[in-house]
Amino acid sequence: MEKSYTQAVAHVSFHIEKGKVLGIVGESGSGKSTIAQCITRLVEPSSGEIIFRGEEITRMKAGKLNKYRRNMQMIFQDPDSALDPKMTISESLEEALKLNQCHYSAEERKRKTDELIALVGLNAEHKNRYPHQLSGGQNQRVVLARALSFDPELLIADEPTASLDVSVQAQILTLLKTIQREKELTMLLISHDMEIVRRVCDEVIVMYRGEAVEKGRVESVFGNPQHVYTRLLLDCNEENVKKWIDYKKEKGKRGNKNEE
Amino acid sequence: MNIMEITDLYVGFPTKDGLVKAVNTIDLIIEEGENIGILGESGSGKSVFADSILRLIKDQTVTKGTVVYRGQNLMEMDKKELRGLRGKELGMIMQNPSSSLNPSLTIGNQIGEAAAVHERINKKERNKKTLEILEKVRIKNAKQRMKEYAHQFSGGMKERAVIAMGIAQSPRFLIADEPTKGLDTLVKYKVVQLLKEVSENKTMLLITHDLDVAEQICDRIGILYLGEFVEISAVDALYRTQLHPYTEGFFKAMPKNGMLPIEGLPGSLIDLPEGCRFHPRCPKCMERCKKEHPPLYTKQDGRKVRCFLYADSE
Repeated sequence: MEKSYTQAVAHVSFHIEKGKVLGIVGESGSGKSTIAQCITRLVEPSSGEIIFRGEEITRMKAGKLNKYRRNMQMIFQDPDSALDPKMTISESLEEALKLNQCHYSAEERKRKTDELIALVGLNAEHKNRYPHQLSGGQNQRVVLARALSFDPELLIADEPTASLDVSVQAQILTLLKTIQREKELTMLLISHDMEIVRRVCDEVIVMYRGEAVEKGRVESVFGNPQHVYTRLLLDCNEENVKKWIDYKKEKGKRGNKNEE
Repeated sequence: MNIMEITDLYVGFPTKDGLVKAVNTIDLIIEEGENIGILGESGSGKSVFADSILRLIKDQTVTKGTVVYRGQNLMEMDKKELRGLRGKELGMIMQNPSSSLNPSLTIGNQIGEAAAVHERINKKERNKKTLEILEKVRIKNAKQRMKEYAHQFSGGMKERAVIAMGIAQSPRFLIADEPTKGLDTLVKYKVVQLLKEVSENKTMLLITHDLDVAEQICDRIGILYLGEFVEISAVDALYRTQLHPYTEGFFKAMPKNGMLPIEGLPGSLIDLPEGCRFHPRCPKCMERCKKEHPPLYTKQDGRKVRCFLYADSE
């Protein structure tokens, strides 16, 4: 059988300004996570280039890549599986510090761990607990603390609240936004929720099946959406659904058989 | 007419850390033909509540109270009688289609099984019936699709298949547990439309954490917090004003309503907070709330709320 390829992301171009938050929004399978994985080089792009602080990274060699990766940290969707179940919270954080701040003495590491724990809104009592003893929201705070221990310049959050309840989601996103502002972090937030992007991001890219169908500043994309698909995501009512279906027909895009 | 009357329902699971009081306690009267939504966050007891109505819970569970469905107490029924009601009278749309569908049976087979469990019909009739049901839940190309397996279906299609199983014997009372969880915008929209359609002329109990979905489908909504209702209200009134501080917090935490977090974490179902269960997180907490457990007050307009702020409004 001939090997077939799936085009996960096609001809997507964008840039993020330092200190800004860019949202990538789209349905499952739209390619939004693939973009994040390309930036962190967890997936090799088939073509195209990614420039981070003036350097092309898609062909970077291992040694240099490690240094570069330190500058960008990721937060994943499921915090419970992102932490080592056999390590306490402070052990997890200290291990990260050992790796990335190797000049620290044991004492400095301890002090820094305490700082990080306080920074993400956890108490000292959480320090010696294991991930299964904490809630999903608390674990996501730990994951964030661990990412911040690297003093990254770019933070990539891939659906960081998809497995959390609304009230906890609000806590985590508020925390993320506060820290991002304080530390002037550049952030890439991946989400399927338009309203989250509206709240947290400065710029947005709307993805559909690997293509960026609309991009721009959040105020303009949300205030005056140009693409039918963006309008559909913003307000999924009968009219917008109909327009979207007509649009797809017109474009002659053949859906796969699992298309709803 | 009341189709179901739930009184003093209590469900507790013994665990090594103590007794988890998942439902504690629920009183609810459901009218024939209404769509009632049960809204809550994880750990509020909403799924256990749904399962306990059909007695789909483990034997070692401690259950108290009565669930009277059209004059019969489901809690005291023997297993055989209960099986006669399940599917035919009380249909269930299970949570999480990927794990509630059998991966080794074709979709058609599973729906056929659900459709024919109380009837002796031959294979041909069974297939005909299955096809009808699949068409009812708008699965395109149903004749072909019924021969396929769950893994060949997309998320939305699987949800349709699970809905098909729930309505296979056209039950009078339908329980749907998180039917829109994890679905993309457009797929969710279509599933909501389908649920509206299949619940016509039926009574439906919808378990969800999604405010938008509940608003579109339900006539009345009950908000669960740590195993009990804190507010029960008609949909329009509830979406206009929220009475209970938790309900208010829940609404305001939605990104589109401001994304304001509720302080703290939900308490544990093992050691329930004393007094009002929401008091440790409540911005309007009074002295009284720390000691006394508030009853569910009924306001003059019929709305129910479990909060001392409304003690005088009865």
